[in-house]
Amino acid sequence: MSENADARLEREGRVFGRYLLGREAGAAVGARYAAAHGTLDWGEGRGWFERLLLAAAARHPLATRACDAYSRFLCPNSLLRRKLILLLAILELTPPFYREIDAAGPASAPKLAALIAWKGLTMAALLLPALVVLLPLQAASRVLAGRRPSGAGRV
Amino acid sequence: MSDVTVVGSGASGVHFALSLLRKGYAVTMLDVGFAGPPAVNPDDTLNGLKENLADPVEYFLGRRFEALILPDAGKEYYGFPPSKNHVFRVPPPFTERSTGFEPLFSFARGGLAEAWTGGAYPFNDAELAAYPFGYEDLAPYYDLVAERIGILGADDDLARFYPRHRHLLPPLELDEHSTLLLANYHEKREHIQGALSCHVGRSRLAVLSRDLDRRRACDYSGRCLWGCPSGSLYTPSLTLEECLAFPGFTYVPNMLVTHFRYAAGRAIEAVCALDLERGTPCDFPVRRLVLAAGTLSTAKIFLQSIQQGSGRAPVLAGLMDNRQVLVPFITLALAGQPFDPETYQYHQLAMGIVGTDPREYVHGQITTLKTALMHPIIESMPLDLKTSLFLGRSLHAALGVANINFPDRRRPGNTVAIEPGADPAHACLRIRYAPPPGEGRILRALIRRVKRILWKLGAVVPPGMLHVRPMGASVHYAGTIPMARERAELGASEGCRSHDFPNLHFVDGTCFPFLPAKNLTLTLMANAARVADREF
Ligand SMILES: Cc1cc2nc3c(=O)[nH]c(=O)nc-3n(C[C@H](O)[C@H](O)[C@H](O)COP(=O)(O)OP(=O)(O)OC[C@H]3O[C@@H](n4cnc5c(N)ncnc54)[C@H](O)[C@@H]3O)c2cc1C
Ligand code: SF4
Repeated sequence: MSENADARLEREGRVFGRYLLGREAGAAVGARYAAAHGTLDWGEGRGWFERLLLAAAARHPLATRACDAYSRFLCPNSLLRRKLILLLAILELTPPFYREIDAAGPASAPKLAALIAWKGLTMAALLLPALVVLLPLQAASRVLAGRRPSGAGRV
Repeated sequence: MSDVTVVGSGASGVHFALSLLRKGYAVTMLDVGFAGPPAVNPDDTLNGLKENLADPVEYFLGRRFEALILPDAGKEYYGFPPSKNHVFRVPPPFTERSTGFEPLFSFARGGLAEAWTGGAYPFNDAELAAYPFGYEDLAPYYDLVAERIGILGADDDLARFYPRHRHLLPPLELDEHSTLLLANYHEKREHIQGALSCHVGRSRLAVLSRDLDRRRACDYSGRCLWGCPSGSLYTPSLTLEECLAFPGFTYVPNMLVTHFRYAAGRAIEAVCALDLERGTPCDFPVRRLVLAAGTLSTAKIFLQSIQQGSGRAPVLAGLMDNRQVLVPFITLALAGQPFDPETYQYHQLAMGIVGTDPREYVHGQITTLKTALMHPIIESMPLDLKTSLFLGRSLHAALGVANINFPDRRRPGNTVAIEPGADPAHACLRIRYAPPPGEGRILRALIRRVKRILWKLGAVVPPGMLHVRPMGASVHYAGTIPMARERAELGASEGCRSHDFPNLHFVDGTCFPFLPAKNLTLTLMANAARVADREF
C-alpha cells in the first residue's frame, strides 16, 4: 500500500477510534488498522455513495456517528460499517483498550436506563439530518447505478 | 497387512482403534489428518494472551481476518478461530453440493471434535428405542469412554434424562451468571417443572475437574474456543496419541480415501486413496475395513466404491441432523455488573424440555457469554456502534445464549448420493435435506416456551436476535446406513456390520437409526467401543 494510502487510513482510524472510544486510540492501533487493509479485499471503490459516506464519516467523530447510524439502518453492509467493526475488533483485542471495552457500564439501573435513553436520543438527533442529506443521495446512486453497465462504479 | 484398517481419526475412529489395540489387534489408520498449530503461551489466561502476544489481533482474528464477523455473516455470534482453521480445511479433490443443508466436514487429525464444545450426554432407553439394543447394552461402553476421556456432571434434576454412567467427575465451579440462573431455577422450580415441563441442571462435559494422566484439571483460563492448552477439554487427538504408543498401531496421514475395491463375493480387498503429499493414488490391501470418516464422508466412500465396482449409483436415504435454535438472552439483574473472564467458556448449564413422547425430548445448553468476542454481538444491535458499544459493555455480564436442539428422524427424502464428475475417483457428494412438515409450528411453540422459561430464570430475550440455524450447522450427522435386526440392502447389522460387504463395519453416525436431541458424540464413542468389543 502506498505511503499516501497508509497515512489516509491511519487518519481515518484515528477519527473512528475517537468516535468509538471518545479518545485517541494511538499510533499502534492506527497502524494495525491501516495494515489490515492490505489483507482485506473489500473493494474500496464500491460506488460513489459508499465512498462519499466513508469520506464524510472520516471528517469528525460526530459525522462518523451520524453516518454510522444512517448506515446501520439503510446500508448495513457498507464499507463504513465494515471498517468500524474491524476497528472495534482490533480494539477489543489490544491492551489497554480491551479492558475499557470489558469494563462494566454503570451499575445502577436508573442511571443505566437514563444513559441509554440519552444515547438513543442523541443517535436519533444525528440520524435525522443524516437521513435528510444522505437518503436522496443514496437513492440517486441506486438510480444511476441501475443505468450503468454492470461493473461500472468500481475502481 | 494389519488385522483391521480404520479410515478416520475422529472421535469414532480413535475409540474404536484404542479398544482393538487393547485387545491385541494390529490396526492401521488411514487419515487425511491435517494437524493444528501447537498451543501458544500455554500458561496464559485469555486476557494474558491479549497482554503478552506480540500480535493478539492476528492470533484471535487470523492473518486474513477470517474470524472477523461482519454484518453479512448470517447471525452467527462467533466465528471459528484461526487456531482451528485446520479442523475445517477440505482437501481440493473433495467436492460436495447441498440443497437445504449446510454441511461441515473435517479432515483433521482428531476430526470435528477438535473444535467441539464438549457436551457429552448418554442416550436413555426411550432415545434408544429405534436401536437394536438398549441402554443396558451400551452402559459398559459409556463407563469405559467416561473413564478414558473424563466427563463431569452432577446428580441433579437432569439425571432423569441423563443416565448416570460411572466415572462421573465432579462439576466445575459455576461462573457468576450461571450461578444466578441456577439459583433462580431452584426458586421457581415447581412452576418451571410443572407448567413449563422444563428441568435445568449442570451440563455433562468432557472436561477434567481433576488431573487425568498427562492432562491437567481445568484451570479456568477462559480459552476454550481458541483451543484448551492443558488438554482439560477433551479432543480425539489425545486418544490418537494414546493409540500411537501401541506397537501394533500404524497411522498413515495425508491419505484421502476415495473408495474400496471388492471381489466377486463382495469381500473387500483393498482401500484406494490419494496420497495428498505426492498427488498419486495408492492401494492398501485390507482384511477387515472399518469406516469412521464421519457420516457424510463415509457415505461418499461407500457410494463411490459401489459405483466403481458395479457401475450402479445408489442413493442413501435417512440423513439426520439436529435443528438448532440460538436464543440470546439478557439476565436483568446482571446489567451493569463486572464479570470474571477467568471461567470455563462454554455451557455450564443445560435444560431438558419434555413433551408427551420422551423421544421428543428437547435439549438446551445455556452458555453465558463472558469471554466471547464482543464485536459480533455489538454489531448485531439495531443502533449505531457507539451506542451499541455502550450497551454491550453494560450488558456483557448479563449476556447468554440458549442453544436449543431438536430431535430428528430418518425420512426418505433426505438423501446422500454421488454425482459422477470429470474424474471418476472424485465424484461430487450430493446432499438433499428438507425439514419435516409442520416444523415451523413446533419451533414457534417451543421458542415461546423457552422465552417463558428464561423469563422465570430472570432473563429476557431481546427482539429480533433469535436465530434458527440452517440444517447441517449442528454437525450431528447420522442415519444413512441404519443398523437393524432385519437384513436389508444398504443397511447394517446390530453390530454395525454392512449387509452389503461382509468385511465392512461402520463406527461413526452412519448406523444410528434415530437422532435424539442430545449431542451424539459420546454415544458415537461408546458405540465404536461396543463394536470393537462385540464384533472383533
Ligand atoms: C463447533 C462444534 C461443536 C460441537 N459440539 C459438540 C458437542 O458439544 N457435543 C457433541 O456431542 N458433539 C459436538 N459436535 C459434533 C462432533 O464434533 C461430531 O459428532 C464428531 O466429531 C463426529 O466424529 P466422527 O469421528 O464420527 O467424525 P469426524 O469428526 O468428522 O472425523 C472424521 C475423520 O475421518 C477423516 N476422514 C474423513 N474423510 C476421509 C477420507 N475420505 N479419507 C481419509 N480420512 C478421512 C478425517 O480426517 C477425520 O479424522 C460439535 C461439532 C462442532 C464442529
Ligand atoms: S477447559 Fe477451557 S477454561 Fe478450562 S483449562 Fe481448558 S481452555 Fe481453560
